[in-house]
Amino acid sequence: MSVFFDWETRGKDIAGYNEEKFDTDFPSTPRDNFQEKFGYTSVAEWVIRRVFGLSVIGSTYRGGSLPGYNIESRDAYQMVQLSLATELVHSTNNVPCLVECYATSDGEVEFYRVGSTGLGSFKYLYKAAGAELQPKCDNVMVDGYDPPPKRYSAGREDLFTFGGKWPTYWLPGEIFPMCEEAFAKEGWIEYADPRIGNLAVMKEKGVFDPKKYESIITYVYGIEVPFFDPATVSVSFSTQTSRYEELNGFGDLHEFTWVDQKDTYVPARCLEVEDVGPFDGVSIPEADDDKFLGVQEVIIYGYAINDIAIDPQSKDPETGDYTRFLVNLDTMIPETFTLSRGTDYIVVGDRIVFACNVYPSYITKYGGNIGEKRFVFRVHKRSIFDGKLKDGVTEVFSDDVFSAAVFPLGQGQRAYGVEKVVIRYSWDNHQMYFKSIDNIIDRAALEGVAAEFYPIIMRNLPPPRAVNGELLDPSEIITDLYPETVENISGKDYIRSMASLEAGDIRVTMPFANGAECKTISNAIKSIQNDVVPDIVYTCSPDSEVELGRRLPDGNYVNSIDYSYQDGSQYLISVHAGPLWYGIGSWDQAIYKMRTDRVSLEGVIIGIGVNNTEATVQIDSIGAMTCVNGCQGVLSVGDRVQVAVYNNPVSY
Amino acid sequence: MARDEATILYQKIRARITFGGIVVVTPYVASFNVRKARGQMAATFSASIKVPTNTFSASRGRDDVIGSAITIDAGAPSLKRIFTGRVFKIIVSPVFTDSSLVMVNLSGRDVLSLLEGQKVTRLVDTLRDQEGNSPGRWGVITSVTRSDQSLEGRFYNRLYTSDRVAVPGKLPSEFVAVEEIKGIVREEVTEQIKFKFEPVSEESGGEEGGG
Repeated sequence: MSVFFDWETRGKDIAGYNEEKFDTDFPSTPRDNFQEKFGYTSVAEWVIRRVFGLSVIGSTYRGGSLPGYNIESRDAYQMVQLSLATELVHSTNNVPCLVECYATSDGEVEFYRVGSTGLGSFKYLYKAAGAELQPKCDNVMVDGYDPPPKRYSAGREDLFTFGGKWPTYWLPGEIFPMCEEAFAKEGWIEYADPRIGNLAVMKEKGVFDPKKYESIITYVYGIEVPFFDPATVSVSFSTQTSRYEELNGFGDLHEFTWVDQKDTYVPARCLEVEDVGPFDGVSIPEADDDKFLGVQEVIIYGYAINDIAIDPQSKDPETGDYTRFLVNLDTMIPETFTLSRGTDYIVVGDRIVFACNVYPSYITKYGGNIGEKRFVFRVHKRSIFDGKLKDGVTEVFSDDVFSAAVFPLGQGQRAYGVEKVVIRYSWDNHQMYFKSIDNIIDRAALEGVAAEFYPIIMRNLPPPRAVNGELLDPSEIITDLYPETVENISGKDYIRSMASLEAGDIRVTMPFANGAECKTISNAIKSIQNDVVPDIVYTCSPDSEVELGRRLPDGNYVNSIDYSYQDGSQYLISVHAGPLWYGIGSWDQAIYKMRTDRVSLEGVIIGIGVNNTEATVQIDSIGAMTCVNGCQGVLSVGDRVQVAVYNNPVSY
Repeated sequence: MARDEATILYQKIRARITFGGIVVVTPYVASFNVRKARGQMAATFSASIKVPTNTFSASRGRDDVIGSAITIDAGAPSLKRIFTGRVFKIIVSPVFTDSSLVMVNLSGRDVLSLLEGQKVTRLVDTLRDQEGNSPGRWGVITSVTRSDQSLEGRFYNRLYTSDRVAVPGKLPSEFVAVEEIKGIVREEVTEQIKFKFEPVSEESGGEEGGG
């Protein structure tokens, strides 16, 4: 039972959903509507001013909106820091754009870029220099925004020509023209194996490219059969096809063998190749090809000769032999007859040998090539009525002498007059087969058939990764699709970068940064890593005005301030100055660190788009969420599915 | 080799601490320490002051002081504001040299301490808005753990070719003949068949596709 789906409504929507449409629906960077909804451009400012009602002053650098980053019951100050960390992308000339916020002496929260302003009137009484040796930082690795995968149709491919050859239309009606109407019940289109399941072929054809992080998850097929009628036409596909080939003739016929035990002649069913004479039978075209799978049937296109006898008028007066036959037949209009395998012919190696049980003196009159026309005959007058055969069409006179290629039946008393001898054989190729009970399969019908397929691609870009200002290429660890080759990827930079991380090195995820920004950030952070961290203590006079993060004339930065007042007798202001990167003995304690991860959750589909790409899933613990279909099959409402949520904040 | 010379100067200094409606100035400010540091969310302070014994009366109890705003000014020749924050802790102890005074030890943090231990929520849109704009966050369906319907059930208008009777305009003559014998008008039969192949309405939920 074949099933016909309504292609017009659903399949075209799926196949037509290309990458451009996907990018429109699901931009590679998440839509930022934070200002639109909350009235702020910075999460940090929103938390401090709106949520906690504090006054805010200071720099134009106030952090980012963290688009796509879901904040659900997260530590407020941690979110402030992450928001401020987005300003790292504005780092220039190896100088990190570190933005921090602290409460001023007047109780306002000030955003400032560390080191952007100096202390012009900094006065101190004396200073003492100290230092700390820290583990060496050789590598600073920064991972960026991890985009969810994309799903789209790669475009149209022609199923019939994808294998590299034009299709062949097989129509039995064309091979047997007089029987065209009868043979119009079937026809098939042979096409080269598209090798759709072979990814290496798909890559070579340019359907997808693993180096671009693409994979083929499924295919959508578009089949257009103009003459399709579910009541009368059936369509099927198979990986094996049939071919017709016209033979030159029969060659020499092989005699039956006398078997004493059976007391009869039997055809030689088990001939060996060496038993076959050079002129026995004919070669089978393409039989030596690997795609040749065997003979299905042998069809004679000709007419039946009912009775065969010696023509008494054909006696050669010199030799006494008879040179002609006298036959009875009803028609000479050709039709098709199928020979019996094992009796009429056998296949030996790449030859097909035709057999007969004709008296040896006459065997040479039968068979042979079609053009030889070994069999010479007259039509007996009993077959002729008013100058025509019984078919009422063929005009024959009793003294007409005919010659034809004839294939004998039985012991040669009956035969087929042969115009064509055709073999139908199996061939290792794909076909699309049609059968019609209305006999409407002709060449025009087959040429109107279109079969196309649309590979559905998933493109899963990895998050960008930069190390020490160099953007790494994750594609260099994607191996090729050829199992014959071995690739050594352990020496690739991408692998080495992970393997070389050690104590003192820094790895951080910036879930808002693109590739260029990761590069900038890693370069900036690396440029300020020092093995020896200076710590200079300034003792200042009571009238000094010092603020955190200010740059001192000696190039150090104010990292801490201590005001100490004792019994009205002393009042000291101690200022600790040091590097721009402060208090980072280990990156694990860094304030700018924030990781994201992919989590897997379950949910139920409550809505599905016609393109089968966008679905609305009621996810446990999250609620309704738009999801991209990364599955092979067609989704429907009610399916319970596993969902991967990208860029999910991870707690420490 | 040049080196910094330590020069100690005598300077007149003053301090003033204001909190909970109380203003304490030198010499009643015994001591204070304020620390501000990068990497530390809020600046911290501690102070010891002497106040009259009756400062904390019934009308101004400790409850009015705890959590109240506090400012610390100090310096010379003029006072400079060095800290603004909140009082988190207060300890009162006697002054043994002057029974009219008590020693009050205060400590607290600046305004950013409001954020300590607090959590915020800012959910990103997970659905399209009314204008059809893309959500800010979306997931990826990685597998189907349980199908609600079979694949065949998802398409309406499906036709099974084996059921040739149920095809409008293509009724086998035998079928029509039988129906005519039964007295059923051919057109009616056709209408019935056509009805089965109408697209499934929303209400029916795609359960039946014909055939």
